[in-house]
Amino acid sequence: MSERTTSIDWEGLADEWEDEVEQIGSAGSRLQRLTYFVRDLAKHRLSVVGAGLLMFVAVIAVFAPQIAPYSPTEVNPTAIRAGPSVAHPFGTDSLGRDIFSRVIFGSRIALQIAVTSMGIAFVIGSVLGALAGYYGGKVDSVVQTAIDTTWAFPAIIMGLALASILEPNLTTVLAAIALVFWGVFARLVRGEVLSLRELEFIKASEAIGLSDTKIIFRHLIPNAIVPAFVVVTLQMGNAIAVAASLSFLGLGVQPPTASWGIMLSAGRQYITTAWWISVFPGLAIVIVIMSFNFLGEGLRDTIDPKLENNR
Amino acid sequence: MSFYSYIGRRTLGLLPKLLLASGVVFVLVQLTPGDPVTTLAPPRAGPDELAAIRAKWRLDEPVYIQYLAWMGNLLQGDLGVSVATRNPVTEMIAVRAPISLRFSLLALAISYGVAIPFGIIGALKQHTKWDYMSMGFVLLAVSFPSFWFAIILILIFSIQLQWVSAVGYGTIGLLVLPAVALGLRGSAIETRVMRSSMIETLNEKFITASRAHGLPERSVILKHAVRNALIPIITLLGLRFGYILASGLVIEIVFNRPGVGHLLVDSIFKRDYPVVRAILMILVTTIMLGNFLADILYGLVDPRIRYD
Repeated sequence: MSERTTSIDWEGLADEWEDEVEQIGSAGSRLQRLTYFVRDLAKHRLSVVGAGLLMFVAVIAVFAPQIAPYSPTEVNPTAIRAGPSVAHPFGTDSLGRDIFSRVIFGSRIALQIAVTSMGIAFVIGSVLGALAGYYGGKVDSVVQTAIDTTWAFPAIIMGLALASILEPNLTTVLAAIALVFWGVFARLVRGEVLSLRELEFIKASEAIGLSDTKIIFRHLIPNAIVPAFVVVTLQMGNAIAVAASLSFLGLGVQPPTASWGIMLSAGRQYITTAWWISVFPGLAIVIVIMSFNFLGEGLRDTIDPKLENNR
Repeated sequence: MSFYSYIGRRTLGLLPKLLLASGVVFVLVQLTPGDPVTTLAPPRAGPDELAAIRAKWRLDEPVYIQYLAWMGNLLQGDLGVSVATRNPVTEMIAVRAPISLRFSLLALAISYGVAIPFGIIGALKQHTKWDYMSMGFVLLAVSFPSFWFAIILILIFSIQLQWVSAVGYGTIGLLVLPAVALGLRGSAIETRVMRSSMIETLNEKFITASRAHGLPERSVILKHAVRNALIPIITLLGLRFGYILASGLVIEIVFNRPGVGHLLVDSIFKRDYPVVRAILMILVTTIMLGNFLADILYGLVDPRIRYD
């Protein structure tokens, strides 16, 4: 007599339940929520201005070679520190390089720093924060100690230290910023995960035996990172300011690369005689940081008016 | 939980963080390329001489022994001797610390001096043009890199208008104007915290009750609302001080103020590892103690936090 085996397709059943669980987790379709979100965001005037300016800067960065009238490193001995004119709208620097073109090319470095450093910090922070929040116990206390330690290292100081160890360049700047800022995101995501863990759809996911990896990466992180988006936007402005300070001290991106921080420091000694050398790159920095802040402010009000900035 | 056991637990929590930070500082400096012996030895020193110097400065011992020796001395308040000048590091820092501290405290005072009234105005006139103007000002201020903002302020007030002198680091121009730049940039976060805490306080029942009792609006706002709304921003002091101290170091370099920041960057370039280590450690410890004090303050004024 053969033993009757009821073969239950556990895999298939788990998939089916998982879909249901996912729907409980996300009320309304993703697209619909996105539409509402964009509509709310568009009502926020500041964020529209910020987003518009950032798009403008992004277009400039992408099409820099087409837009810039000169090469950013082209030296012109006949036009040293020439004031703004039709040929050189922002004037020229001590080597006769066109400042307008250098400001345009500088947008590439600035956006690259903002997006890359915050991208790295965001990924590291979200994963570690989610692990700490989900597992708790020892994992949590180790991650928490590390987070608290990052708070004690201001990004500038970390940048100075890294620049002294390695040859100062774009990578050391990115690494210094990411090493310090991941803690901000880890802390936020950890807090979100702690409250998500108590919700039914996570409990249900555990009950149907989903793997931890699946729960963390498919269910917890996507739902926990929304507040971190706001902070990412606000911190991108910060990243640009830190990078500019390091460049200014000669410990960031190295010349002759057209970076706004380097241009500022090169023009500093001529501030009374040739103000345009440092004023235009300075304005560019201010406008980009301000745009990130405007957009971040709008995102904050739209997503969660109660969310407080840390740092 | 009693307040004392809360302090005890917080203190215990501080130790692993300080230990981790000291490890990070030690390793960062250890990884710096270049053999410190080359700084220490006279030019054209023979191998025997180099070995003797290595032994004298304990550079021939394993890294963890060097770390433990450094920690041991640190705990006894001995920060070592500069390899560049042979002066005790403690002395070098003690001479410069007041310059950095005076500047940071001034910047901190300015940032709070701006943030408190702006936050109150923003909350009292919520969603009016006053609110938008104060938030707009704050968003603008935070967008200026502080060192550039400082240069612009000096250009305007010292060079163009000639209101304040900008010669010599002790003059008002070079002390106050950079402090204003740093303070304004720092005030953005504080203004926001002050505004939201004030809004929250104004919605509390005890404010409604004070009004119902017929207290004049002025005393409701000043005596009851503002006092309570100040708590979060006061507990932020520790954190903000650390931030301003670190940003101030960059300003020091830009304006050639002979403070700790200047010493740090000089020492980095000279590979003067005991000085770099000592400054980083003091800075990190100061910031951590600031955060620690903020936690304690918060526990004192808001007992609920102790059970977190």
